[in-house]
Amino acid sequence: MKGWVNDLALGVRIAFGGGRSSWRRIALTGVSVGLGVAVLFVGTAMPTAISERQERQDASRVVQSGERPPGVDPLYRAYTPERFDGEEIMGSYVWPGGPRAPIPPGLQRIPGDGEIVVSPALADLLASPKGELLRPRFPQRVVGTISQEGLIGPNHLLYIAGDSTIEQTERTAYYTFGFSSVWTSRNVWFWAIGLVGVVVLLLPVLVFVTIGTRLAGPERERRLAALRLLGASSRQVRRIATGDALAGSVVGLVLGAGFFLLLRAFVERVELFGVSAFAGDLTPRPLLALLVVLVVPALSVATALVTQRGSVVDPLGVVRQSEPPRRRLWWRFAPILLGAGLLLTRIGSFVDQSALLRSELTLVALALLLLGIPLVLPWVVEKAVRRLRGGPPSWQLAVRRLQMDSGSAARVVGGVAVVLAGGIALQTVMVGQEASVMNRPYQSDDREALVIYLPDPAGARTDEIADDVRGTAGVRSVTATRSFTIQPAGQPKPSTVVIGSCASLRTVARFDHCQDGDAFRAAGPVADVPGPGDQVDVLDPSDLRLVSGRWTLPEMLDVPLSQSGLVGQVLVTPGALRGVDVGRTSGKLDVALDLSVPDALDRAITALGPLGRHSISRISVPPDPERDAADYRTLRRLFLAGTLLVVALAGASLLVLALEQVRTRRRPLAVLAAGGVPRSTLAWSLLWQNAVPLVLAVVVAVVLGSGMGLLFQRATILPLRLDPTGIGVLAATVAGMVLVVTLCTLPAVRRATGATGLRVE
Amino acid sequence: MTLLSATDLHKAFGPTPALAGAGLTVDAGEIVAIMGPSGSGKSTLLHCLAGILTPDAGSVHYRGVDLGSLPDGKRSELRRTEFGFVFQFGQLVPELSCVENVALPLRLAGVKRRDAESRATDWLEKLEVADVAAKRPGETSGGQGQRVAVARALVTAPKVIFADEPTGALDSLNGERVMTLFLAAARATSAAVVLVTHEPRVAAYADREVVVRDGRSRLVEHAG
Amino acid sequence: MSLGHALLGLLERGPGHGYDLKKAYDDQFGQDRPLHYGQVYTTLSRLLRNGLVQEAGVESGSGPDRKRYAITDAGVTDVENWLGTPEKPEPYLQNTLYTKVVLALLSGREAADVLDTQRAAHLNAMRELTRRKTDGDLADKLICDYALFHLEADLRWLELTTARLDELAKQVGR
Repeated sequence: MKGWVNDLALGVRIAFGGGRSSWRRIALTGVSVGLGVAVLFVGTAMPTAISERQERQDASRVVQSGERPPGVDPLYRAYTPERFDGEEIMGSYVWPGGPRAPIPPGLQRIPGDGEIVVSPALADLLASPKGELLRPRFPQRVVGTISQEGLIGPNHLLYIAGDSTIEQTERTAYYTFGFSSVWTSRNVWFWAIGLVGVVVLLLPVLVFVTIGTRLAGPERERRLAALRLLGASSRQVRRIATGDALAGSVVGLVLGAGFFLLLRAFVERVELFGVSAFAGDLTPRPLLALLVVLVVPALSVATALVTQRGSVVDPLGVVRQSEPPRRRLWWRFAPILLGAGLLLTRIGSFVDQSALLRSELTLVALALLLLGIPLVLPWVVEKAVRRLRGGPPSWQLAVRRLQMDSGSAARVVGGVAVVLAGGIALQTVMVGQEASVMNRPYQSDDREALVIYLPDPAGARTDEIADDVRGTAGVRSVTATRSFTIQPAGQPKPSTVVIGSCASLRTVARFDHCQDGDAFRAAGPVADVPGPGDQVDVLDPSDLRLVSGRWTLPEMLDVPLSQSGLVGQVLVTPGALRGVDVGRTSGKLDVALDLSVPDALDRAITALGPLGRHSISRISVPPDPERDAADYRTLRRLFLAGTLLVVALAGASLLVLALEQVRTRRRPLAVLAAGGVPRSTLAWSLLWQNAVPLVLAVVVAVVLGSGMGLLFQRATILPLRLDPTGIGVLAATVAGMVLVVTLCTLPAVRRATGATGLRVE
Repeated sequence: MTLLSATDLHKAFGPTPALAGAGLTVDAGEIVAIMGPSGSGKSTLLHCLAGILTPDAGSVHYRGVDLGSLPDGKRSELRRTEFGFVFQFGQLVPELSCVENVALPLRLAGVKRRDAESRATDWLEKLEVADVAAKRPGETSGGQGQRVAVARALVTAPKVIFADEPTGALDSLNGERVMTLFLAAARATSAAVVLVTHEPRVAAYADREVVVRDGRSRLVEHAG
Repeated sequence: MSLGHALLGLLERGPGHGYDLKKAYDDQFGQDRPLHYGQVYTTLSRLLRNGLVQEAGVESGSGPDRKRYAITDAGVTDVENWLGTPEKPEPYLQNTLYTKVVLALLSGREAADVLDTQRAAHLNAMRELTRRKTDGDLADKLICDYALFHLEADLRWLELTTARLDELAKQVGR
C-alpha cells in the first residue's frame, strides 16, 4: 500500500518537477483540459438552469381549481399579455378578493388600484426612448419591481397591475400560484432537442479533454522508460504514469473551475439570441459536477495507461515503429449501423415531433449514431490516407506523416465530426420544422389585420372605440361588429349572431343587396343555423350556461360565407334588431393596418389606451409565421453558436497538437530546412496534414448529419429539406480553423527550422 | 579554384561568442576537415559556410557571391541545388521511406516522382543500401541510415557537401564504411566536402584539416 | 628524446649552475627518475663544445663545481628549431612532447603551436595510412588500423593536453 502511494507521489513529482519544460507541459495540459472542463461544468449546470427557469415559470403560473380552498381569499386576475415592438410583454391585472388572497411570486404585496409593479427589464424598456409608445398603455404608478423568483430570466418583460374594476366572478378567481409543470408538446420538442444538443456538444469536449491530458506524450514516455531502465517494474511505472496523469488532470480541473466561475460572473450581462440567465441558474448539479470531477481524471489515467502499453513494457523506450496495427472494422461500424437501423424502423411512425422525441429509442438511436462517429473516423482517415500517393513533396510529407500516425489527428477530428454531424442533423431537422411552420396556410393580408375583441361592458362602446382607432396613423380601416350567442331553445347548438353595418357584414358573407333592417343566414358546413321564425335563447356572454332572453328570428336571406371552414352565423344589421333586447354584446374590431407606417401595430393598440386594459379580453395580433419560425431560427442559431464554440475548442486542441508535433519533430524539420527545403513546402505540408483529416471529418459529418436529419424528417413527415447555408457555414468554419491553426503553427515552424534546431541537445 | 571562402566570421548566441574571427577556403573537389574540441564553434562555422546561419560579422562567398547579400529564399535554393548535407543523426524524415527520403531533394527541384525515385535507387545501390529502400528510417540500422543520408546529400550532384560528425553515432567499422563510401562517391562526382569532426581517424580521410579553437580557426602548415 | 635540448631550454630562463639545472630538470620532468649528476656534466660539456652554451663565470661556494652556464644565440636557435619540428609520428612520444610543451611554456612560447604542429604531422601520417588502407587488402587494412589507432591515441592525448594547457602553465610557472 505504501509502495502504491510512493509510486503515485513520484508520478506527481515527475509531472511538476522537471524544470521549465515540465511546467510548460503542465500549463498546456491544464489550460486545454481546463477549457474543456469549464464547458462540461456549464453542461452540468444546464439542468439547473433549465429547471430553475421552468420552476420560476411554473411558479408564476396560476391554475384555476374550481373549488375554493378553506382560509384563502380569491385573487381576481385578468391575464392581458401585450406585444410591443415584436416582444411579448406578459402581465395581468389583479384585485384581491380579501386579505388572504395569494400574492404573485416576486411581489411583496398585491398592488393597489392604479398601482403597478414591473420587472427590471420592463422598467428599463419603459424608461428608454423606445418605450415612448408603450408608456400610455401603463399610466399606473410604478410602486416596485418584481424580484427574481417571479421572473424567468433577467430579460423577462412582466408587469402586474392592480385594478379594482376587473370582473370579480368565479371565472376570474384564483387561489394559488404555481403548479407542477405539465410539459406541452412544444416544450418536449424543445428540451429534447436541447438534450441531444447538449450531448452532441459535450461528447467532443470529453474527447478534447482526453487529448489535453495526452499532450507531450513522447516526453513523458522517455522519462518513464528511463525509470524502467532504473529497475522500476512495469506495474510501478504504470502507477507512476497514473500519478503523472492525475496531476495534469487535477490542474485542469482547478483551472476549469476557475474558468467556469469567471464565466458565471459575467453571465448576467450576456444575452445570447434573446436568452439570458441569472448567475444562480448556472449552478452545476452536484451529482453531475461530481461526475465531471471523477470522469476527467479517470479518462486521463485510462488514456495514459492505454497509450503507454507499448513503451512501458520496453525498458529502452525505443519504439521501433513498423506498420501501425491495422484497425479492425466491424465493431467500429456497429453503433452507426445500429443507430441508423433503429431510426429507419421509426420511419413514418410519428405524426409529430414530440411523439418522436418522447420515444427513448429514438434518442438512443441518435446517441448511437453520434457516438459511432469518433469510432469510425480513425478507420476512415486511415483507409483514405493509405490510398493517397503522388502529389508534390509537401503533400507527400503530410500524407506519409498521416499514414504513420493518423490516430491522434483522427481523435481530435472525431470530436469535430461529432459536433458537426450533430449540428448538421439538428440544423436539418430545424430547417424542416421551420419550413413546415412557414408553409402553414395564412391569408395574404393576415399580417396587416389586427383583431380586437371587446368583451361586455366595453362591447357596448364598440362603435365609439372603433372611431378612436380609426383616427390613428397607420390604420387603414376599421370594421366594427358586435355579437352575441343564441341557441335553439333547450338544444346545445349555439350559433353566433353578428351585428354590424352592411359594409361590416360584407367582410363575413357574400350578398348583393343590403340595407339597414336586413338579416342574413350564412350557413357553414359544420353546424346548422336556426331558420327564420325559430324561437331561440339568447345566452349570457359571461356565462354561456345562462339564458338571458328570448328572441324570434326575423326573415333571413341565405348567403354563402366569404371565409370557408367557419361555423354558420346569423348576420343582422342594427335595424333588424330594433326593439329587441339582446342583452350584453361583445364587440370586435377588425383593423386593417398600413404596415408601411412605422409602429402601426403599437400605435393602434395604444389608441385603445384610455379604455383600461382589463376591458379588452384579447387582442388578436396579426398571425406572424415569421415569429413562429423565428423561435426555431433562434434555437438553430443557438446550436450554431454552440457548434462553432466547440469547433473553436477543437481548433485549440488541434493547434496544441500541431505545436507539440512541431516541437518533437524539430530536428527533422531543422535538417530539412538546412538542406534547402523551402519553408513554404513545410508550411503547406502542415496545412495538408491538418486539412486532410478535417476534410474527411467534414465529409463524414455532412453525410451522417444530413442522413440523420433526413431520416428524422422522414420519420416525422416533415418536408425533406437540407440546410445548405448551415452546412456551408460549418464547413467554412472548419476550413477557416485549419487555416488559423496552420498559421498559428508557422512561428513554431520558423523557430524550429532555425539553425538552433540543428544543435544537439 | 576557390569554391567557398569565409573571412573573419563572428557569431554569438546571446552573450556567448561561438565564432570570433574564423575563416576558411575550400577549393573545388577538395575535402577539408574542420576539427576542434566540443563547443569550439566548428558546427557554427559549418552552418555559416552553408548559409544556414548568417554571421554577425565577416562574409562567406560561394563562387564569388556573398551569401549575406542573398535573400533567405535564394539561400534555400542554393542549399537545395548546390549543397548537400549529412548530419550526425535524425536527418531522415521518419515517415518517408528511405527511397522517398533520397528522392525528396529531386522532387523539390521538380523532378517527376518516377525519375526521382529511380535516381534515388541508383544512389542507394552505390552506397550499398538498396535493400532498405522501401523501409522507413526507423527500421534501419544506424549505419544504413547514415548511408541513406549520404545518398540523399549526393543525389542532386551538389558542388559542396557539408557533413557534421557523419559518423558520430556509429562504431568504428560502420563509421569506416560510411566514410569510405561517402568520400569515394564525393570524389567520383568531384564534390568538395566540408567535414566537421572531432575524431582524428575521420579527419584523416580529408585532404587537409582546419582546427577551430575558441571560435578562431587555425590553419596549420603542413610540416611534411 | 634529447637531454641537451631540455637543458638548453631550461637555460633559456637564465644562466645557472649544473646543479641548478639538475634540480630544475628533476622538478619538471624527472619525477621518479632523477638525472645522474654525471649525465648533466657530460651533456653540458657537449653543448659547450658545440657553442650552444657558454661559461658565465665561477662562484665561490661549497660544491665541487661552481661554474655558471648561459645559453648562446646559437643555442636559442637550436631550441627554436627543435620545438618547431614535429616528432616523427610514432607510438610512445609523450615524454618528448611533454618536455617540449613544458619548455615552450617555461620559455613563454606558444605551447599550442607545438601541439598544432605535432597534430598536423600526425594527421599527415594518418592520412597516408588511411590512403594505404583504402587501396590495400585486408591484411594491409588491419596493419594500418593498428597504427591508426595508436596515432589516434596520441592525438587524443594531444587534444587533452591542449585543452589543459592553461592549467599546466600555472603549474609549470610555479
